[in-house]
Amino acid sequence: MALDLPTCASCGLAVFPPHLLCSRCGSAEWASTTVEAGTLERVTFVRRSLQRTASIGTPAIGLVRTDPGPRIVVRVRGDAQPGQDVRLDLVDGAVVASPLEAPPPTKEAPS
Amino acid sequence: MPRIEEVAVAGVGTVASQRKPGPGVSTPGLLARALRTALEDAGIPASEVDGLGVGSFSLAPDRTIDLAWHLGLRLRWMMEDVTTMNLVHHAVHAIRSGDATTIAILGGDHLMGAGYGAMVDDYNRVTREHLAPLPTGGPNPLFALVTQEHMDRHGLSREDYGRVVISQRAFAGTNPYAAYREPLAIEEYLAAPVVSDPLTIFDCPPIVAGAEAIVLTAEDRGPPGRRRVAIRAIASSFNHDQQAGDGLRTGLSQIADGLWRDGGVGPEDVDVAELYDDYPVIVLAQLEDLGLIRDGDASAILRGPGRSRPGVNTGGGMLAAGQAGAAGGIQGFVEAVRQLRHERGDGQIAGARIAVVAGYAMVLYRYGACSVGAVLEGLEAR
Repeated sequence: MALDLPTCASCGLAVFPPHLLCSRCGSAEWASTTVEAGTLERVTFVRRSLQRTASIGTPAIGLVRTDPGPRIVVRVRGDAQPGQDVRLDLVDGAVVASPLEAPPPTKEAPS
Repeated sequence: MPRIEEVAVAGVGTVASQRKPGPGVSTPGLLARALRTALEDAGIPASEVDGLGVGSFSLAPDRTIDLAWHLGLRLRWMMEDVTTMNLVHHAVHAIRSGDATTIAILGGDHLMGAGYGAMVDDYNRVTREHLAPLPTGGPNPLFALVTQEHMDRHGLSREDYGRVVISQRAFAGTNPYAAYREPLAIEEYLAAPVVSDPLTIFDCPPIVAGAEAIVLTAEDRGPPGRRRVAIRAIASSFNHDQQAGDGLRTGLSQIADGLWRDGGVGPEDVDVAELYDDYPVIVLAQLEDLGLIRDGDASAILRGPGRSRPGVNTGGGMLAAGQAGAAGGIQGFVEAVRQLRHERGDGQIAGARIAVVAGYAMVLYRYGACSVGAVLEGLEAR
């Protein structure tokens, strides 16, 4: 599933995560802009976390800049590298960034 | 706003950080101990307290009024916020306006083990819906990304962040309340296990149980012969960039000029800077926002006790002393008061007169959205 960015129906500001009122014009009316790709800016590997180290492995967490503007915190899949364009999918609430040529991620195997 | 003339810090209290609290330790109990310690320090009976502000993630299901009852306090002013320095901001004006005469600000938490894990995944709706599913496992990877940005922006190396940690550890060696007081060598810092690259275990504050308390009054109430501490300026900035920036400029950037103007001092006058330190990058960002360093270069001032002025995070900060949840927001304020009273022993910055204090809080999505800054002045004993 591609990612829909909430976009102000009045002034066109795209945001993520969703807002209630537009931070630029105050409107409460939202449309959406579908984004299928973005630029992976940074990646970090979570090697330790207090609560679930054993069960989550070492997820790669990244930052993606989208063309409409918002920078999104993502799960990085495969060997996507900083500086590369990546495809974006929404999988079970998680925004997943994959190499452009990779097949769509599935719910069962996001990475 | 003109310089504040009439609000003083009458007393402070700390419950030492506990890495492994026993079964009898509770959040209300920690807050009560901190309050008693601060009132004893101020020489003020609890019956005179008519204002109470509480910052705590783990007081629920109780609220401030429940705590007030159990503490036996009769109040005219009450407030709760986990941005604990925001309570100080409001308390200053409550005292100036006469709404209250004697306000206790308490911050404290007992958030260990499973309780901490549950809190970080359910920190707010955005975390629950957009970060926990990734999973981020808490804020560490978010600040790893901010740190990467900061490293690239200023051309810094891991040693530059290690300097923050090592300097604070050296100060912690002089602080009886700190959890980690042993000195740390740069080799040990660089070889530490990675949490979320480039952050290691030493770049993330250890979670502890503990509490801090501040008693504010319209006039100094401390014992005769003791130096006094006045709050000269205080200001806040919330959600200044809508989380659309890079996290390298905190809300302090919006209020720093006003703090210096209102306080009647400038960055060059600062003897101690006590800045929120959830991660070393945020210490460097706030130093930059305050005009105390340029281009990320803090090598001249992060040198441990007795080596440089201003002293930065002279109690060890949360990175060495531990983070007791919302107590972290006022930990630096309490340390600044001790410095300005010249009561910090081997960690004392000689002749300290001016302190700048900053809280930073609430990671909405990618970084913290709340900053509260204050300028404090130490005065000769009456």
